[in-house]
Amino acid sequence: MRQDMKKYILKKLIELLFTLFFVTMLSFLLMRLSSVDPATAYAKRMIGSPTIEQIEAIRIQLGFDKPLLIQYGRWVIDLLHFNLGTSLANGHEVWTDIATAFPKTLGIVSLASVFQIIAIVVMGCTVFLLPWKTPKNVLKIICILGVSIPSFYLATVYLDFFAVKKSLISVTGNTSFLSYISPALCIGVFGASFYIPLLMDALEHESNEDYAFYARCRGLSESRLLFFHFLPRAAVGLIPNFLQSIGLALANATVIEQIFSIPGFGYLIVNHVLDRDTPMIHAEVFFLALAIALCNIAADLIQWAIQRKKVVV
Amino acid sequence: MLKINQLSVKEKSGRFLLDQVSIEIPSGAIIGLTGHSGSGKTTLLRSIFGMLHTDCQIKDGEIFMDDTDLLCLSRREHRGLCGKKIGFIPQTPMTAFDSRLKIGYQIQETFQRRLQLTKSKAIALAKEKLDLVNLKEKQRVLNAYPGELSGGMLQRVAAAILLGMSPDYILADEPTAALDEENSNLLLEVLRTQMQDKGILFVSHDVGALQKLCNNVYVLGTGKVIEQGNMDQLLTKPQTDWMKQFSSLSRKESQGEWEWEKL
Amino acid sequence: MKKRREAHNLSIIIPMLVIVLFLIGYLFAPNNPMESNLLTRFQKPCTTYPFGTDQLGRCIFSRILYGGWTTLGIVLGGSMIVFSLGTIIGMATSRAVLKGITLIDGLINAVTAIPPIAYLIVFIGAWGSGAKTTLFALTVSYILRYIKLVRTRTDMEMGKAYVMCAVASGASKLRILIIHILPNLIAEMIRFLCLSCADMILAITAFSFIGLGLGDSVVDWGSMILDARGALVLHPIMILYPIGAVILSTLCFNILGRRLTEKEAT
Repeated sequence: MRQDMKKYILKKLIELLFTLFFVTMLSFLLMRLSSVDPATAYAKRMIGSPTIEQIEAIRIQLGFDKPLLIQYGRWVIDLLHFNLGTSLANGHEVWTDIATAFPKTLGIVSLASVFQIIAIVVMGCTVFLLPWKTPKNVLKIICILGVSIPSFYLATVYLDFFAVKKSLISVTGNTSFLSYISPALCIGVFGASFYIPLLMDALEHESNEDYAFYARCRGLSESRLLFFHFLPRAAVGLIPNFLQSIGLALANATVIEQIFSIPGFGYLIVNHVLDRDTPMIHAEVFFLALAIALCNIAADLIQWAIQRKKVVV
Repeated sequence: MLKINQLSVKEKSGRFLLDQVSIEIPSGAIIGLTGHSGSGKTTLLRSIFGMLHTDCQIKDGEIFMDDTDLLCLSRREHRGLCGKKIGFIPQTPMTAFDSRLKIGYQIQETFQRRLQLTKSKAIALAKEKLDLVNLKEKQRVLNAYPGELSGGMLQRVAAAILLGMSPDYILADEPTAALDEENSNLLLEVLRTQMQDKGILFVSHDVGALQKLCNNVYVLGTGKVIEQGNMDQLLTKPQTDWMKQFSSLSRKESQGEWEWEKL
Repeated sequence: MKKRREAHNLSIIIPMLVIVLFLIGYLFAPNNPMESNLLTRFQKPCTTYPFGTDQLGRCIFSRILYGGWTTLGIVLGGSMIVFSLGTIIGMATSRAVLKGITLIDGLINAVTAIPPIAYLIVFIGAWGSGAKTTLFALTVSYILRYIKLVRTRTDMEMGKAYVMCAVASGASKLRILIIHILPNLIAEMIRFLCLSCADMILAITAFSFIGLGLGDSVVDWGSMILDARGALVLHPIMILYPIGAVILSTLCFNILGRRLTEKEAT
């Protein structure tokens, strides 16, 4: 059994490497194909009205003159030495900037996940235990609305209402933990709206199974069945899916952080994209892909473990 | 006495799943119930347990358990009676238990919650009853997952739970359908010897079992009781088409040989 | 029962109509969406300007309609490409056609591990924002996921009895794929496309909102929302129009996606 698992993990790690290679290569390749020349952009920013010689000098200095593969190769080697270069915009060490920003995003995404799980379980279970059909239908309609409303809109309305009108939260420069709550809520609404119907369907499915009928004939109560039988089984099916959505939330954080002015990873990416800050963009693309791929691997592993258990037993 | 009195159950499309059905199950007796698929046997069982589908409605009738009309009880009260006063033997033992949890946990859960026992007392009771149903490797059974035990063993676990709960009435839904002959006989033996003082409703297509066990057999056809009486009577003097076919088939079967007929 | 059927059919037809209206509505726009007139700023809804005017005096109603053309044009155009190319490539690379190349499996898994929004970031990071980049990025990312779906499902269907019957009666592989398997996949494909469209609308609008949008020469809802936000205190109604358009169009795709597969189930 252990051997099996090792093989699977190995396969997944190879896929991971391939993903990282693909995404970073894509990033480099696209830069090459772009109409905007990073050397010119940088030169313009530094010098104002650079001459052609100055642009060429900068191009050589930054290594943009070398062919694509060599540039990429150099970058990879530097990466393995934990040297990600310096930002073109502000001269900071790329690594430092990312290292300070990433935990913030991670905090927001984790908090969002916690909110989601609480909302999904509470709503799903409450609606399940109520004997009437209407609450279930109402909840489903609310959820369809929930996935149709752009999260950034919720964020802005939230911000404008609570911050500006009621002065409950400050609008800029948030770094404390409390400031994570608002963006987390906004990201969480979408996820919860997506998963609540899935949980409801899974619980419904479990409720109609043979073992449920027999358990009820033994006189076990609905709540006992729900919390000790249905919910664990339904959750097991949803967990891999959910882990993948954490990866998605990381990408969504780009927009939300911008709105709440939280200097997290997403905020960083957007600003660097606007500035065409090449080293930062390459590094950020790498980390984004890494984080997302790791979540996916965790999800796949759990999914695989569940399926194996089913087959054996 | 478990008395079903003129019970009518209608589904959303207007069709009557049960039409004025009356059945009596006295304490200490084993009553048989048979009929073609779709005749309403499952609906009857579900009505007694209070677990009809939401599309179905009880239009008429009462279900008296001793002096209480089950249909007048609240959902909670009705559920409270399940297991304790009315027991169930499932048709497909392989899917009757939660495949995620050990058998021991599920038996213990039932005894703990329904009989208000402590965990250790519940386990002790479980072991005692497993003995009675002839499952000797008690610890292995308790530690096993449902998927690791055979159909016959699981069915005996169900019987053991019944013995532990000791309900007054037992509804057995084709309990031997998924079993081979040896296990089938074992289960019927348990029913006969251990549950003598209970009122049992034995739903089955197994002619031999119906003959051996039941004092009285009801035949359901499209929601109505179409025949009733002693199994031997029904077989020798069938009134309805279904019963006629059933008895001719079973006559051939009980001879235990191949029969070739000229068409 | 009949009433249910009718309600069900309505719940498919109405969203479709709404989407079509958003797509071609711009042909009926009363005014030029780019025409600014500082004398008619922030006007209330009237006959000339059904939704009033924005901070530059442009007709909001016309801008919504043109925005619909832009957004839905990209989204539906992308979907068409995804559907046509994706189905062909997906089936062609399924294990039925290309025997046992596990490398492709790993490849597909690797590239679909990245969500479409991340692809959008990568492309915009390299090429800057703009309508072409957005269309390209979304098409590429969704086509990869679509191919994965088609491959997986084609392989699943190949193992089923009806395919074995077709093979036994001498049908060619192409015939099996197109005439037997494809109809069974259509429902899931459409569902995927509908839900992807919904996600795409949200993604495009979101990026537009933070400044990585489709450019100044095109009208789009995201930038309208951004503009309206600036004027929120004095003219709170203005933001409702583009937001309403986004929510409505996304809702339609979500409903369509779910309804079309629910029908399958019954």
